[in-house]
Amino acid sequence: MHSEENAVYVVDDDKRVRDGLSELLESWQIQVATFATAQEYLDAPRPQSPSCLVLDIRLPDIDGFELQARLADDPHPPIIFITGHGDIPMTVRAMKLGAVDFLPKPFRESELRAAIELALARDREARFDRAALSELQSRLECLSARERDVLPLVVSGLMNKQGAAELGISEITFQIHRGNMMRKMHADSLPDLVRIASKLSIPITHSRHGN
Amino acid sequence: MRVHQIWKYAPALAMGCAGTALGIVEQEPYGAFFLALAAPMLFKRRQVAAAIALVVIVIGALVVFLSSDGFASITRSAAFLLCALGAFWLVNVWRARADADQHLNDAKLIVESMPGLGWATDAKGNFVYVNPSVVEYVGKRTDEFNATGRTGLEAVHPDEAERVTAAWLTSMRAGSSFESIHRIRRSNGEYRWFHAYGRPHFDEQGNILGWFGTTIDIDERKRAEQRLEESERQLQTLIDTMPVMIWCASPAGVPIYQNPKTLEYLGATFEEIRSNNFGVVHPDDIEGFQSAWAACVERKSSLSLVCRLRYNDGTYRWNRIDASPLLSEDGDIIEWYGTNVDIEELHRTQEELRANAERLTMMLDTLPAFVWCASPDGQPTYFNKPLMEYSGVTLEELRGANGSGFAPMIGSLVHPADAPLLRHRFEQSFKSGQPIALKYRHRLADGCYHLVDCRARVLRDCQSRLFQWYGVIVDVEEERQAQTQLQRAQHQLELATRAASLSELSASIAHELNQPLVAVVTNSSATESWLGAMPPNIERAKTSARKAADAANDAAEVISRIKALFRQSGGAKSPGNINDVIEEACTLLRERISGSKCDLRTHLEPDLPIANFDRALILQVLVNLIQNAMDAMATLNGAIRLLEIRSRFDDGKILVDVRDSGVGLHDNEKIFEPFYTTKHNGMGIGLSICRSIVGAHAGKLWASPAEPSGTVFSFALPLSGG
Repeated sequence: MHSEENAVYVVDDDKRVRDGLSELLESWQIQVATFATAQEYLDAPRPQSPSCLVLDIRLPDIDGFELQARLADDPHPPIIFITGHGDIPMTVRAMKLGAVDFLPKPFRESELRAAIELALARDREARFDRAALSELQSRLECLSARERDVLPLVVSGLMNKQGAAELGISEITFQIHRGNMMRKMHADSLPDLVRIASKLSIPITHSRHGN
Repeated sequence: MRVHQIWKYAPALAMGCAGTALGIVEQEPYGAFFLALAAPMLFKRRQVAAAIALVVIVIGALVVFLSSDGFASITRSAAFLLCALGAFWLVNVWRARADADQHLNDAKLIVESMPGLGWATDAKGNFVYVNPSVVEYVGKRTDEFNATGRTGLEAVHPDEAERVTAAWLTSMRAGSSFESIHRIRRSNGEYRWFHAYGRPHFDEQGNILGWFGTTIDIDERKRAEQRLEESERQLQTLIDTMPVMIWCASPAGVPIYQNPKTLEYLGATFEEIRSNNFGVVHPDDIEGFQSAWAACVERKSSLSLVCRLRYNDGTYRWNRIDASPLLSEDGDIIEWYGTNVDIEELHRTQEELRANAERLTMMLDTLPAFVWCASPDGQPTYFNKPLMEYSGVTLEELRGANGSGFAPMIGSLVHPADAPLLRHRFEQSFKSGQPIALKYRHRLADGCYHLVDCRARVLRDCQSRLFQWYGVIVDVEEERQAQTQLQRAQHQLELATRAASLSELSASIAHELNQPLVAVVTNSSATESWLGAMPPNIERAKTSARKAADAANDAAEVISRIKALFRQSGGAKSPGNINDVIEEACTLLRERISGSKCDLRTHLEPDLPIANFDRALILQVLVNLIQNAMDAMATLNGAIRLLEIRSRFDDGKILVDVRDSGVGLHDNEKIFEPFYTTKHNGMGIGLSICRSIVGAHAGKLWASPAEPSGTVFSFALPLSGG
């Protein structure tokens, strides 16, 4: 938590709030960047370390929800909403769209701290997941065309004989491709391969018992 | 034996009887001689008399013959016989003459006692005799007639003299009867009509001996005939010149006479019509005509029908044909007399009227509204079909209802809560002629009460007396429901807007306060963190603490700004007329008032002095009071909802009353307390705000019970406006 790697971005049109939050977060040894408008935040470079966004809902140009919607499609730091006049529908809407927390102003220090810690943890995890997935994808890219054909058949649970027949090759050849594929995917066993395939969203296309 | 005349002959008989007696004594047949002469005198029948006389003479001659002897007996008896026969013969001749005289005398009497003029002429035409009537009438005697040389013609009317003379001469020449009708001058110069008739009298050789004639006064008859002729002529002229088609037909319907107007109208000759009686009737009407005619002939009743006849230009025009049969004593038809009247224009007008009436009726019956008419005193005279069907009563039933007009219908079909007002309004309007415009609930065919708009207006005649009421009843239920919904929506919108603006306000206040509060909280926490660090970062802690204090000051600033904001309202007083504000309030609430079915009555004093007040705030007070009044009557069931607003000037103050006819209040003071309410959805602050507004104007607001029910809220504003 008290790592220099962590960063918190604050978007609030009120300078007093921005200053107060940056003072508090700095006193917690967290790096802070503040923005008066959503556009300023959008224009700034994307953070590389685990981070979170403390976002006021009422903003002069693009309001908090709008910004949340714009960020939804790409990886972005988790959002903690703060607002001076929140109500239940707003809260529900924010949470559904993936906000970490929704803090009505004035909020307690402890609430803010808990929310930020949760957000940073979630971001860290997400970053780890993204890194793992990109490793698996690079492994998948190493596969030859034939090995890539073999992969879904194996994942679907087809026996060597069935897979070979499906591809129109001999069982021996199939077994060779299968071995190479397992090795390149760093899969120790079939369940391991299935787990990896599921992360890569490789569909199960066949059934051992025929179509 | 003419016994009654016997006394005339008594001396003769006495002398005869004496002679007979002496003859018997002397044995001479004098008695027989006497009897032979007496018999024709005494016996009316001449044969009997002659027979008796001859027998007596023979007996006398025998007596003479027997009493004498020898030659003397023959001569004596012959002398007696001859003398007696001769005497008897003479007596007989005398008697014949006497009888003829008697007859002539009788005839003369007859002629003279005749009422007519009797006359006789000789063969040349000269009067030989005129009876006294002639003398009396003409004033001339026979010889005077003949003296003129023109016999009787002189007295004949000059116009007829020639004709009568000719006829007379013709008759004289031919020896035929003479007959003439002519006028004869009376002695006083006056002419009278006579019928003269003469016959010639011939001798055995056939020569005319003379003329006998009578001339009878026929003046009366003649004049009657003339009058008849005159009246007939007049009648004929009348029939021929009258602009009416007149005709006459045989019992079977064959035309006998058609007046010129008829022929001219039909453009046909009498012969043409006679040959084809129905030829002028429109082909479509012939059948009906013939059957009607046949029916009338059979019943011997009058004919009256309307049909199309061919006009002389070939077009068919509507005619009314009326005919009556002339019946004999036996009840047989002698002749038909009839008239035709061209009613084309009338018919066309009637057709148009009928079409118009039909159109109007159809329109009225298909209108999605109820239409009625009533007499000036409120008796329904017309209901259109929908109204008849809906109300389920007929006009007759209503008319029969003791003259109370619409009362039965109001009683049965109008919502009980609205009926008294409606009845009252109807009665008033039928008395005063004021138009009726009223909305009330009317039960319709579906059995439900619908709000209807009843409007009626009276038509006045030229003397501006009430003539006829015309009214419509329109179902405005849907409109009302739509309006109600609209009002509800408006009301909700208003509430929502109010709530929104309230939440807006509170949100902005919250935001204004929260921002510095966030800064206070975060900076205070930061201060704590800086101070709690190892080692404590005093500089940063100071900075944070200052920022927290600044933020707290900001918050205080916000609070004072808001207070200032609230203090500002209610300051803008300006001179104005309170009536304008009342009207504005009524306008603002018009929809709600009409929707609440309140009867709004305003009594605004026209010359209110100008007062100084905050228009917006006083408007708020009025709106509040009117709304309260309507709310107080919202739950009333059936009672009249009266909302009365009155303004007046009294004792230097302007007074405004807002009166409702609701159930009234329990406590007329408590309601002004904040958060006290009698409404289930009220906040209980309206009246307290109103009172504070009026108080800010140095005025007074109070409530008091109204008579007979309800509450009056009154406020008084001093002119100075406080």
